[in-house]
Amino acid sequence: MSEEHKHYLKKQKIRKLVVRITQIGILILFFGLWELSAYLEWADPFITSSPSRVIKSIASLYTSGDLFVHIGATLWETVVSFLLSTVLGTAIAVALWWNRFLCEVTEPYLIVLNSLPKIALGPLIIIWVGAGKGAIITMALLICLIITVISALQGFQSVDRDKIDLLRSMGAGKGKIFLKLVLPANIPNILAILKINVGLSWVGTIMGEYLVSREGLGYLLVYGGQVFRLDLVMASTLILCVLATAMYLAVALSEKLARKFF
Amino acid sequence: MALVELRNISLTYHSRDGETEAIKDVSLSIEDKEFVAIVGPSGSGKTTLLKIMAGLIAPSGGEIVKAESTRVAYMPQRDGLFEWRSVMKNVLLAPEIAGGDIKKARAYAEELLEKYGLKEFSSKRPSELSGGMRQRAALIRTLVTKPKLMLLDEPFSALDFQTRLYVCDDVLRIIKAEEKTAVLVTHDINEAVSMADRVIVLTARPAGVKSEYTIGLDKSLPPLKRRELKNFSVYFKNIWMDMEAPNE
Repeated sequence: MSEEHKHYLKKQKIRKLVVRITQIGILILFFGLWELSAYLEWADPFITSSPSRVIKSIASLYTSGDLFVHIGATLWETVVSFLLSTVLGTAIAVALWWNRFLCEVTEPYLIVLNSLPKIALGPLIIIWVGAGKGAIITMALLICLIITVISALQGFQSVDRDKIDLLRSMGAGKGKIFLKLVLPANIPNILAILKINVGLSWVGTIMGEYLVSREGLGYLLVYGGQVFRLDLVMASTLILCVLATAMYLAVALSEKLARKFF
Repeated sequence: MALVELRNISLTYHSRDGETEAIKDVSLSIEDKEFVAIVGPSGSGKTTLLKIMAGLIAPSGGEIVKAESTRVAYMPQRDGLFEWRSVMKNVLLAPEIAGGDIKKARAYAEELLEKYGLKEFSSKRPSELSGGMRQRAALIRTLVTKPKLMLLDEPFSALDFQTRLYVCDDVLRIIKAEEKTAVLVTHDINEAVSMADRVIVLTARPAGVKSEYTIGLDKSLPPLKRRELKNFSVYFKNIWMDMEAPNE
């Protein structure tokens, strides 16, 4: 290794370290200023809450045993709607890829459903599905499903024609073309869709919990807002940040692993 | 008897804007173990003609006469290797789809990979191979089904000029060693004259047979050396003029 290259590597390392230190610094500064402003009463802690009050709020939720009930409820709804929308959306996309007639017929409906703000269906969902977890999952499902179908279908349809011809010349039918070519070629695309769906299913779940629910982080947010317990609102928001990021990172990691193979 | 014979093949495309006559009354025959190149101006329907021979497109008129036992393999433009499969698994694609004896196919694939210097790459991904090696892997993928007739659709168009010259030699050597019949579609006259036993020139759309040249260059030389022969430029010039000439 040349002196110059060593120097280059060292510079890169230092740069990375500086970025990391700055990131952590900002976090500390933010929470520090927040705490300080509440402590010195620059702002009314009743309105802005403070880190220490947030921690106390989380601790009391924990001791009352409610913390994991709420986290569990929201997490369950999110994961179920995430998995359901991915599987169902991909399955519908497969059907539309398979049958061109069906694909052409459904196109305008997909466009309308995609443009519609799904929250507008809230009242209908509550009446039809009932005010419970079912309604929340349905809401989250609707938000993720259509975009999954559209993106997956687009991926399926953009497979190289030459490669399809190659398989056809080997005597492959539609099923084999899908299994041997279209699906494996689309694994990266499907994983990219998963990443979008993680975010969307959180949106759907929290939105659903705003509408109906007696438990969950969305419920805590609404309840905390209504009774003016900002500590509770801030605590729920922070927990949400952590959970959503963790789920995103998990999907991103599985994407990284899968990309090695596809 | 010819291995494959095309009789009065024609093809008309229909679209909303009207109909396009892509191929008009093409008759030609391919003899056993012959290397035939089909050249024509771009957009003339050479690739379409090849796809008809491969059975991928049904012609609007005419017929293709060949023995039932004549197995045909098609090699598309660019190598078409699947990136998520190892070289070996790419080579085994056709037997996998046919659902036959995969062990026997694997043994033959191993033999071919060994013979043509790709053995140590058989568990590598296509992206780890050079352009020339990828082309060779694609060729072995078509050979593994033991076809009689190989249809090559501008197989070198994605390669840079230098690799192309080298791959031409390589491909011809392998096809001759395996005693295959081959039809090569190309827009490159040099490539056609240097590789083929016979060159068929197509007219501009609608494609018809304009002329045919039996190439009398020394077949014991590799294509790259054939380019240096005196008669090479004569063939080139004649074919070039045929391609330039307007349709009658």
